[in-house]
Amino acid sequence: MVDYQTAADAGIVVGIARCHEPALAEAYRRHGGSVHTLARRVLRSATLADEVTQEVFVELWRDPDRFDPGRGALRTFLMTKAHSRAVDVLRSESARRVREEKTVQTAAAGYDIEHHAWDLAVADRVKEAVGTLPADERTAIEMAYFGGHTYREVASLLGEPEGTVKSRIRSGLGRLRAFMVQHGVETAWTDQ
Amino acid sequence: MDRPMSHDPMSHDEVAGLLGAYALDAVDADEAVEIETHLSDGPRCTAELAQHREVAAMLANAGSDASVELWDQIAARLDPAGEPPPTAVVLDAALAGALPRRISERQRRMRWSAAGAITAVAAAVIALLAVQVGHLDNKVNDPVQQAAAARQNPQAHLVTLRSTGPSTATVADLVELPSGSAYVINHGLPGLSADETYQLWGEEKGRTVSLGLLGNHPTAVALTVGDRKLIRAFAVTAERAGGVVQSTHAPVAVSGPQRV
Repeated sequence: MVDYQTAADAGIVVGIARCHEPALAEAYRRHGGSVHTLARRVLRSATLADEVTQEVFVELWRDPDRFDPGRGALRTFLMTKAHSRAVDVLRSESARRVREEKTVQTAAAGYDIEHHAWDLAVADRVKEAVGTLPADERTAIEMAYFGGHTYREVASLLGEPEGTVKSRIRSGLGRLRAFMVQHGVETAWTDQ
Repeated sequence: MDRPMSHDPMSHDEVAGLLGAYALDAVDADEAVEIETHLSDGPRCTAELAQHREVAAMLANAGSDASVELWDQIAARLDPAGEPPPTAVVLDAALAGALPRRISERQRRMRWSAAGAITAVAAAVIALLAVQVGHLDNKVNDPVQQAAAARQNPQAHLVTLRSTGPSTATVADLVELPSGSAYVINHGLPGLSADETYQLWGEEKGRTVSLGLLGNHPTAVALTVGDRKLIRAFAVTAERAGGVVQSTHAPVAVSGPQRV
């Protein structure tokens, strides 16, 4: 049998495409925790995060060709799927109440960057990179990514022009990447 | 609104300005549609989007251990694969013929009753992924050199692929490594037209699976075939460019019966 624990992402997905359940189990072992944590952070609900995590891995099982190893690591692919699905849930009618509660909390307490979003970034380098961002860029990214808001909503919540917010998100992400590449973090996320 | 209401498609600069927000799922649905349309023909934007998504995935780095209970729920939702469509019968028969008789008869019985028969989609995916892996390898190293080195590996397993024509000459070698990597080294497969490709197939547990595309003028091609002990016979077909999910063509080359 293939030892999936030592296999690269592409090898694992080849195994999944062959309906080898141990390959999917290895993908889950590597990335399931991060997927669930991200979904839970966005949705603020363990139950909904369970559902999103299940959907992400079942979709990988049923449709593995959506993963293109030429475009990035499996982890990035799964996290992107998880975030997208979590945001869909958040924006759906069934979760409207959850979102409304979050918006109220946001409006009442403001966005506590240090205590809400960035505590997820456990890697020292990531924290360091985040720390180099101007506060307005950090806030925009955090509200969009972890808060599940569109850039228009972020602009409205902050009372800033929409164009300013979308520029801050883009420039902040670019600045984070540049920092991480400069400090050798890049290889840590491109493959297992 | 920063962008006036218009039915004109977004310009490149407008799309580029939204890529960060799009990477964070933070654009409106209509904007997402426009961005995705642009991305289908915009490699620069596609590359930038991939970078933004990598960063975003890194930010959400604090994952706890994956829950065993949740895995059990996922495993319970995995669909059993379906039966192979009958269009595979030509290639299946050829692969069965490449097996020793005692195996081919058993596998022939298994082929149409196996509950775990591979799906057509999965076969196509393997082809695509194998090609992608091969392409990734090609970016880093010369596959001809890699193949030559693989042949010298004492743990390598060599499979000869013989023509199905009158000569039955060896037209290609397949070198398998314990890691699951493999190389096809062409000796005599003639060049195909630009809209065709050779496609490698394997017989695995009674199922015919695509192992990758070899191109229309292959020299040496790197592939990932997985556990070599599971694949009992190989075949090469000529297909349209991009490959097919299930082949209806008779193979142009098959492995010899030495694999038992």
